[in-house]
This record gives sequence, structure tokens and C-alpha cells, in this order.
Amino acid sequence: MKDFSENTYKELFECHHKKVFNISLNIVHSIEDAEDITQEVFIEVYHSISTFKEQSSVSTWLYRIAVNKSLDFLRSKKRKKRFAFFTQLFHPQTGEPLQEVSHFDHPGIALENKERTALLYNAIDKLSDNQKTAFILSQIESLPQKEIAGVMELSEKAIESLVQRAKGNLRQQLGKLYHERRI
Amino acid sequence: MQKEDWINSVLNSSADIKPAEPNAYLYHKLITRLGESNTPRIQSSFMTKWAIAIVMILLINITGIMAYTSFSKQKNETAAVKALSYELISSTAYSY
Repeated sequence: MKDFSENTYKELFECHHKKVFNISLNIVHSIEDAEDITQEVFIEVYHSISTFKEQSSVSTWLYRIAVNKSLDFLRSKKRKKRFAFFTQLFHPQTGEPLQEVSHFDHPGIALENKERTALLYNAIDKLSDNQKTAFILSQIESLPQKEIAGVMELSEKAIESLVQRAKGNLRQQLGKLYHERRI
Repeated sequence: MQKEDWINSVLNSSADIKPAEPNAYLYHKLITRLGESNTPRIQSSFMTKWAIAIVMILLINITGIMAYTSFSKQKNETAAVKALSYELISSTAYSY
């Protein structure tokens, strides 16, 4: 290991891996993928700790890598889906279009809240990358605005506005959904 | 009012999400992966790139040579046909 011992690396992992895992989990919605991304984050840290400029805290740096890797993962997943075989979109026997149902089983959600949080996560998925990241980091991960600004490399004001816009868009989406559910 | 309450309840459900616990053996998995990713893969991909480059160069050369030979062969044949036709014309012109 360059510049730092194995013990320091383990300490760094112990201190931050849960937060890194949860940030990834809230973005990619799969425990296995979030664990993979967490490992990739710490592999990148291992290889590039010498390039860390200490302009931000280690946690900010780690969360930034986690967010970027999770968003990259989602993008590559979308790309793969786009190129997937066309007939896979339809039921082989009936020819009916198959609707993709998300089976995200977050271990931190109580049973009575499962339905509401599933609706919330579905709505979050439809937000732009920036709004999604800002909303997850501030409302779910409860990170301070200053740290979110560091993670996203934006000003605190920009983060505030992103969160407000995300909330507005979520309200709009949920409003539509409310009407659809009543019909 | 009912609609607003419902929207608020869904939005506020983010506050009830508790942090999830990752796999207890994640660190061990990470160390294994780090050990795997450290040496041989880079070397093999480097070799693969070289092998692909050499095969590509060979293919381009072979295709070029083949194209050139067939082209020059065709050129020779056309020249021979033309020469023959001129000879025929000249022979008819002078045979009386």
C-alpha cells in the first residue's frame, strides 16, 4: 500500500463503508449491486489515495466516488436495457407487454412503510441525476448541506435549489399518481 | 386536502428509512478482490491488445496484396484483349 498502512485502510473502511453502502443502495436499489459498488469505491481509494488533494474531507471524497459510481452503474444498466432483445419486452405466450416492477427490498424500511417508500423511490428514479443525488443525500442520508455541496462540487445555494426542485417534481409526480390510483 | 396529506405522507416516509447493514464479510471480499486485481489482469489485457494489433496488421497486408495481385492480373488481361483486337483490326485493314 502506498503512503498508508493496511490498518489505516481498514480503519477508513470501518468508518465509512456503511454510509458508502447506503448511498449506493439508495441510488441503485439492489443490495448486491450496492455491495459491489462499495467494494469498487474502496478499490479506487486504494489505487488513488496518493492523488487525494485534501481539498475536501476524506468522507466527501468517498461519497463523491460512491455517487459517481452508482450513477455510472445506472447509466450502463439503462444502456444494456435499451439494447436488450426487443421480444423480451413482451410476454412470450400472450404477446402482452411486460411491465417492469421494481423489487427493491430495502432492509431499513419497516413493513408498514414499504408501500409508501416504494412509491417514493419510484418517483425519485424519475428525477434528473443531480436532483436525485441532492434529494437522497439531504433527505434520506441526512448529510449536511455543506458536505453535499462538496460531494456534488456545487455551491450550497445550488444544492438548496436542487432539493427544492426535486421536492416540487416529486409532488407533481405523486399528485398524478394519486389521481390514477383513485380512478 | 386528502391529496396533499397523502403526498406529504409519501414524501415524509423518507424519514422512516433506517440505514441498512452491509454484508459482514465485505472487507474480506474487498481484500480478495484487491489481491485479484493487482497484477495478472493488466498483463493479459496488454498481451491481448498486442495480439489483436498484429492480427489486424497481417489481415490488412494480406488483403492489400491479394487486391493488388487480382487488380494487376485483370489489367494484364485487359491489355492482352485490347492488343488482340487491334491486331485483328490492323489485319483486316491491310489484307486485300
